Amino acid sequence: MSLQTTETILHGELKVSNNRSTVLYIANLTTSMAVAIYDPVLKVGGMAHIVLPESRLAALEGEEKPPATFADEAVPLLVEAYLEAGGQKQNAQVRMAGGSQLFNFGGGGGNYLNVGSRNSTAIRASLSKLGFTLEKADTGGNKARRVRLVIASGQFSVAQLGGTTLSL
Amino acid sequence: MNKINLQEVIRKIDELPEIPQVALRVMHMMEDPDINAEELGKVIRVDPNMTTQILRLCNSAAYGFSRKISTVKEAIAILGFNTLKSIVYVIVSKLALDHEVEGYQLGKGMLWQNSLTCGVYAKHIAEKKRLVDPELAFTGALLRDIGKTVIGQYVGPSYNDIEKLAQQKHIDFVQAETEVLGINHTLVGMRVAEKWNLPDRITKVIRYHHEPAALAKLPLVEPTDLKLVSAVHLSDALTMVIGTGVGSDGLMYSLDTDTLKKVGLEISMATMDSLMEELLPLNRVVDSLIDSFS
Repeated sequence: MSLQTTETILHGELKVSNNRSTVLYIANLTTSMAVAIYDPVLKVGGMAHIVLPESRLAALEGEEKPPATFADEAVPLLVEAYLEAGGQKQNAQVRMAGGSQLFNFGGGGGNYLNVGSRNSTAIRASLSKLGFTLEKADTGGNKARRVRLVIASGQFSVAQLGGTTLSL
Repeated sequence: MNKINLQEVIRKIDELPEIPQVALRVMHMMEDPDINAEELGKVIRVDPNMTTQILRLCNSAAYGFSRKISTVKEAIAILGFNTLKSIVYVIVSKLALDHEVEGYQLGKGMLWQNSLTCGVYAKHIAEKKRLVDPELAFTGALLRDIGKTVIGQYVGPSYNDIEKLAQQKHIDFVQAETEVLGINHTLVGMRVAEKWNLPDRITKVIRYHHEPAALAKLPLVEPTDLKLVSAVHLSDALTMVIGTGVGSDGLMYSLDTDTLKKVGLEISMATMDSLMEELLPLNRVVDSLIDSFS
């Protein structure tokens, strides 16, 4: 069995690999979203750690802004990097996880920070625009998640802290 | 239910690692408005480890000085007392928080990283919104969850009960902790703060960071205290929302927008989005604080 190398993806980053020993990993997803694209035939995969839905009102610029911060910019960049690494559009399996939310009772404060559901909507719209279909997703709720994409097998596992671990 | 034996909790608090004497003395000296830089320097130099760590932090990217600071005296002159105080608290926070906290599913380093992040965010919010002394907001946010290190072991076995209660009754995780265990991490944190003789303002942050409205209802509450607690309440929520070192209690907390508005914070979806954008690059400051210990 070959040794695996785990590559952690931080907020606003994306990584793509065609190395079968690579595991792409996001350690702490709350309202942010992990979007993974994988080619099961050619064993090419990538994942983005998206934080906010739109770049329209972006205050961040240049080096300050990691490339995959906003859904509307991150999804095209992820697709481009996946295709450049050899992934084929017709083979692509697209999965997504994250998008939790604060409790929203009493003062209704959670609504001001409902980034999770807005991220989900923006990612779906961006994928659809590029002609990609989201196959599976584990989103919402109030828990933090840890996400892994294993390049060798395409396994996309989502562990909820204090909850279950799913393989999508 | 699984109520905790309070005497046992108090015993656990007594068993917490002691803060180094020099740090404790420095923290108390810095509360004195007539503090003397010369005397402070002398006290710090007694502890070579503390001196080394202070200088490493001073020279880290987090504080962004282009020229190298090589003595404590220079550090005080360049950074000022308030910043130096935060640096001492960062050193204390590593001792207190850089452990695995099993009950909340926080691996080693997660609670410390989460606390530094909340501290850096609170400092930014306090400064930008001109609420309170930014270094005070940093320190309060840094230590807000100290109680988790003590009650974590009790939360673990009762996690399912706490979570179920929070979801069913629409109450914060912290309130559900109280109902199930008879105590919560903010109350335990307050006892830790008292044991360590932390300043009263920091103790209030630890106690009320999930319930600023409860502080607002207290008689003769100082407006500055309410602003400080509110700044930390908001930075705590944004630390959860952005997601750094979040444990099994996840996002099972609410944001008290009424109290935040009362202290002059403008709360809307647009202001929260742009605040998140401003806070994101500060994660690098947190990394540089952590790196300075390696």
